[in-house]
Amino acid sequence: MRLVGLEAVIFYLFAVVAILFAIFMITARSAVHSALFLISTLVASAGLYFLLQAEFVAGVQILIYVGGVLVLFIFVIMLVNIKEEDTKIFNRQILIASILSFFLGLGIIAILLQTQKGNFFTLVSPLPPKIEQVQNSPNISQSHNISQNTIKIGQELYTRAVLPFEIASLVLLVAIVGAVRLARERKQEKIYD
Amino acid sequence: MYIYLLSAPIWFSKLPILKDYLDPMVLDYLVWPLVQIGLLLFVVLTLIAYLTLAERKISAWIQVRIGPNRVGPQGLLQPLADGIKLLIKEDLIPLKADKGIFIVAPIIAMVAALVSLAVIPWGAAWATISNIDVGLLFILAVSSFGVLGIILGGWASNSKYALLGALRSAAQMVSYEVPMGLALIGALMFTKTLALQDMVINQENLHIWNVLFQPLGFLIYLISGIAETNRAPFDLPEAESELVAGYHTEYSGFRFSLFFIAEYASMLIISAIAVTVFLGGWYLPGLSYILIPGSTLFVLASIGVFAFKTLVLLYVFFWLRWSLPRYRYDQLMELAWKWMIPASLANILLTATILVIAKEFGLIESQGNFLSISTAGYIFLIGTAFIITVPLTWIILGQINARSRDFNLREVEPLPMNRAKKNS
Amino acid sequence: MADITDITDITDIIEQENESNEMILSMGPQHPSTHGVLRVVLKLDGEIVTDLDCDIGYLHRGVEKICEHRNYQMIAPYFDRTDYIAAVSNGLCYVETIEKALNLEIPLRAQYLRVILVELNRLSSHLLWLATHALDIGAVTVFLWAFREREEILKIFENFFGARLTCHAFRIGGMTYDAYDGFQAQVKSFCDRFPKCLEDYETLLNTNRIWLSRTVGIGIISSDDAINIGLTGPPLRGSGVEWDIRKAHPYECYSDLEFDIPYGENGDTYDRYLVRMEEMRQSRRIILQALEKLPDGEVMAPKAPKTVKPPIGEYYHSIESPKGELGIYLVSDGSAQPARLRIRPPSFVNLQALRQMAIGHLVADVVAIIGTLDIVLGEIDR
Repeated sequence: MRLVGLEAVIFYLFAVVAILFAIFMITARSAVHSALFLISTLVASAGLYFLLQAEFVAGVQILIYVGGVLVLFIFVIMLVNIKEEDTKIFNRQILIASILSFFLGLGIIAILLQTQKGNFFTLVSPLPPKIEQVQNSPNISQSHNISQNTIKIGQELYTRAVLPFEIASLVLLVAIVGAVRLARERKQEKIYD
Repeated sequence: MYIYLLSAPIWFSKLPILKDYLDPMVLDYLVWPLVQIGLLLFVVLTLIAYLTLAERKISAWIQVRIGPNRVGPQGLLQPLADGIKLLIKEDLIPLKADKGIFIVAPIIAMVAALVSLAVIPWGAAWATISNIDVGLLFILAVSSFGVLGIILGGWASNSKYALLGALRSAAQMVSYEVPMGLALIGALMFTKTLALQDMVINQENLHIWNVLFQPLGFLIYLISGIAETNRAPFDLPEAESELVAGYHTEYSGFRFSLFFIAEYASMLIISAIAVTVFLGGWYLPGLSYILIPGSTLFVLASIGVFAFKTLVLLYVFFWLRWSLPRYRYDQLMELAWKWMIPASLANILLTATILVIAKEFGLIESQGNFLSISTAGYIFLIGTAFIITVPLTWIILGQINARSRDFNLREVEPLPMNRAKKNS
Repeated sequence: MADITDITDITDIIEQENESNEMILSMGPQHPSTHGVLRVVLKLDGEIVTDLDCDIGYLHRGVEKICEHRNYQMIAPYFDRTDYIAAVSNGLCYVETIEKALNLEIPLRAQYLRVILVELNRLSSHLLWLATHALDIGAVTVFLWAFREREEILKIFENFFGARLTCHAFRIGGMTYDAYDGFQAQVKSFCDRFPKCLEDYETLLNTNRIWLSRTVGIGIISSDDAINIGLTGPPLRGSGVEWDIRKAHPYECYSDLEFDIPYGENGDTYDRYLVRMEEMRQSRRIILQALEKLPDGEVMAPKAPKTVKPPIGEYYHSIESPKGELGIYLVSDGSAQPARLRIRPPSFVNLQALRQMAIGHLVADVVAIIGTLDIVLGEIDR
């Protein structure tokens, strides 16, 4: 897809931020700093989703990952109170890790090249809808602006993808129950009951 | 463009100086939003400053005091004095604090609170900055961001009280986000959109406020909203009698005031969303008969209606704060997980069922993005909401929670007395 | 359970914290709700208190030692400053101890005036307790409402004693001066208005769900434990023990007055709250009766000696102060200064119940329990 004008600027801004903070995340010494950088990465990628007109995915990304998962991450980090220790950033598994990530990178590039049929930087996609579509209509509902993908996601989730969706929710439920069971010691139960 | 900006009013594009030098498109989509943003920030920040004064005056009134009355007439310049005081105070950063995060945390809290202002429909037509199609989701996402500021602030202070406050608020806000989001879903079934401006327009088309269809949802939303903004009776993260000041114990000067502004701004937003989703936003029955819809006067009136409704809800916030004691941490969690979340789920289930039944009987019809409801449909929907949804949820939850410790408070009985037993 | 009594400074705490996963929180001495300069070292598992220890003495002034170097008349004002919330009661206790040692009968009018003032003081002390207790639990408005009524009592005190906090008009043998003009009318009008105010507080709290869930079943202490620890006053009566020195060993003219002693059943914070609220009603009743029966006459015993020299011996006298049994143990060597004077402060004894009451509860409950014990640090540290 060729990016033009403001859109390109925003895209590259978000992309660079996401990658930079991802690097910061794995090199940060303090666990809380790592979490903070991960949050920045996630927010930047949410920005990219916005750019892809996937507002719903972007919103949910922030709501679930930043507002939920990472808040809990930080919560746990604070609870176990990991100190800023002089642990080495690189350990013995660096060789295996670098080989694995090399192959992973190759794989990603291969897939990209294949899907873009070699014209990775030149492919032209239809331009996004124009501003005029939402022209001056002071009091008339802009309901037609509802992006189709939000509706699509909803419909897919409740029609074709209903079984995987339900299975996933069941797995999550099991995980919750398991976590509660693991976390609650006898002593605590005695105090609470 | 993916963020749908609402175009400027006609009189704005006719302003003589602007018209001559600027392209109409630039005027509509660059200059006008900037004007709006500037105006909004000015108005909202001033409003927040005066909300603190209002809170002090209202609390004084509740507590048979006079309240601030020294600075300016009737104490009207008090917020200014407070602001100046906070600005020129020494900026303290604890020695062992995590300096970077300590500085960033209040900024995160404040930004998260203020960004949400962009999508709130402050009034009809051009009074709103933008109407993005996932407006509600956007607000929920951004406000969930605000938790981070509090947690990080508490953690970075390197103080035990602050850390305890931060942990409490993390648990509290994550817990209450769930019922808050779920409570809105019931209303979404009627408005059929996530865009906030469209929600108001849909309510205008139905000539009703959603609160009549969704009394339970409104209640759950309001309670969760109070908890989400850390206000009494859920102000545990900053419970001064236990945790001194909670997460902002170590903050002083302007950094503290950023947290303070964030709290008031999120109160404002919670009220604004409650007004938009449940109380009809800027829609007031009969307003369109008095004034011509779309005219400047109408828009101004709609802003007034919206502001009035929001201020009423804010008054409820203050009122509750100054009359109720504080919940304990575990009771707060119990309220969230044993009452609010099941109740909001039950609300979704019952609302959906009622809607399906109404559709089967032909009482409501789906027309594109709108519902059309017959007179019998109105009676049916409002009746079932009040007669079935609320009592049924109450009874079921009461039965489920009957064995809960806090539910079984013993009856209040008069004390026994040692009646005039004389001995010497 | 690790012993945390030997924690003396911050470094020790941090070291101990690293050893176990439990968090050690030092609450106070500068803390909004430890009612002064009490320091409570809490050992927390999450937010549950697993152990705690009180660190007192931040307000120690050595009152008992000072007393050994003062003449008997000079000692009296020191007592206004031990329990500064109930200065009148403390003054009464001291004066009565000496009168008991001297075997001095004081005029009836002085007795009645003393009772009125002491009961007014009980009201003001209980109002302050209610205010701070409610504030600790988060009900801010009750705080100011209670202060409004306390203000009226303090105005009466100001008129009578010339001071609001360190009220002092009792002398060995009676009172320094008689009541001012209009005293009775002022007290009467306050008493007439007071029940309405009590009702207001009770409307806010008694059946408030949050208040109930914060107080019912919190800080339970059984009547046996309460007696063993030596609790007195409302904490003891809240556990269901009918013990009030005004009834058990009546002093002044209490035996002529009719009043009831409220007591609780469950020994929890809510019962103690109810007991104190009812005590306020009873105090009002006592004041009204005393006002009615107030006789004319002298307020100073004619036989009161100029230099007080109690006979050699040991004397103990106690009264029911708003917080519990306030006792003074006096050893006299026959000189004009006591050989030893020991105060039995109710707050000090009552505070010992804190550990038993608070373990297993949450941090927020510790605050509520400290509030319900109604301690005054001036009295504990002396």
